[in-house]
Amino acid sequence: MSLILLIGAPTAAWAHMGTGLAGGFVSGFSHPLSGADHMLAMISVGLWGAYLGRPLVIALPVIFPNMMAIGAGIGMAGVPLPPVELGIALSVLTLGLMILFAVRAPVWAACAVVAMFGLFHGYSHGVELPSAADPIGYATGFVLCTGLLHVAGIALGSLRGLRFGDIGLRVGGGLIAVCGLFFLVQAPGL
Amino acid sequence: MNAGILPICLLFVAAGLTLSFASFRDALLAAAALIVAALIIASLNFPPSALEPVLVGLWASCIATVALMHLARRLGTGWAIATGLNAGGWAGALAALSSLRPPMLYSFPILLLALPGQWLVGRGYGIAVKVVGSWVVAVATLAIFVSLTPTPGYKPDHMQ
Repeated sequence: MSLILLIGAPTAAWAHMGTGLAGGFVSGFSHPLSGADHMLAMISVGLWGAYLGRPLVIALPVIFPNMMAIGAGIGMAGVPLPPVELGIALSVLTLGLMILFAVRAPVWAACAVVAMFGLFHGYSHGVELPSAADPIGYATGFVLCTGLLHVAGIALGSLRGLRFGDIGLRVGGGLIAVCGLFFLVQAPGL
Repeated sequence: MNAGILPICLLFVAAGLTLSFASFRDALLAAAALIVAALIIASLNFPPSALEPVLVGLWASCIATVALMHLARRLGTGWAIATGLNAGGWAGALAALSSLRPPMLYSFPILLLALPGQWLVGRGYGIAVKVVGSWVVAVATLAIFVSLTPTPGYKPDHMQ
């Protein structure tokens, strides 16, 4: 029986386990959900956008994934960037503070802040993306999940209209900022 | 690097979303143009060396198709048909080069995305269609970068 199981085991399929990223759509989709730093930043973008209203509620979730793609390209090209983990931690801290204090930034400033953070988030994944077994499937899943996290943030932002909704969201922003501070302290290069 | 049918599907998503901004009649004409162009081009033979340029062209076409919906408030007949012909041409070329003719046929229904899209645009929620379109642009941008970057991910390894 053991011999049959041994012969039937797909050892060839295990030959490349552990090399590079796991590829494919599902792997890319689940990746942002597996890291609190990325997940919180992406939800925060949508949440802050909801606070800022039109046109930023739409512009920020458009800018972030596209700047992330450009950041990934910079990462793939091997262009050096300041410590990326530091940038990612700063993005969580900054976006959390923006929500906590309900900062009404001008359109250009909000776009610039989110674009810069998108670059950092994209860079960290761009470096490793081409080693994925199916980089296009991975990228599709990753971008789709990122976009849906923004939408989740916007949906959370719509709770502002409820009683205690505004204070609840601002407390949530404060908690996100605390997480950002934690990531910042842990980040290599600080 | 070969991503299978996914590039064609994403191009059809881009075309479907963009046709949300055309009238129903123009979207129908564009879809017909897309299908005819795809079938004709897919029946041609291309040299294998054309695969990489066709992939890059297809991804660039995704970006251009989505850009159209931002440039025009409503898509006229000419632009709608041009969108269909362009998407069909690139999809057909990739299908011919990657032996994806049958999967391409199964991907045509993706164009029906234009129906809920038109419903949203008609009710003033066209911006939601544009947001989803921007995600296609992000994937296409990443795909172009991946195809232009020689990395271990798709270099022949010790098994090949």
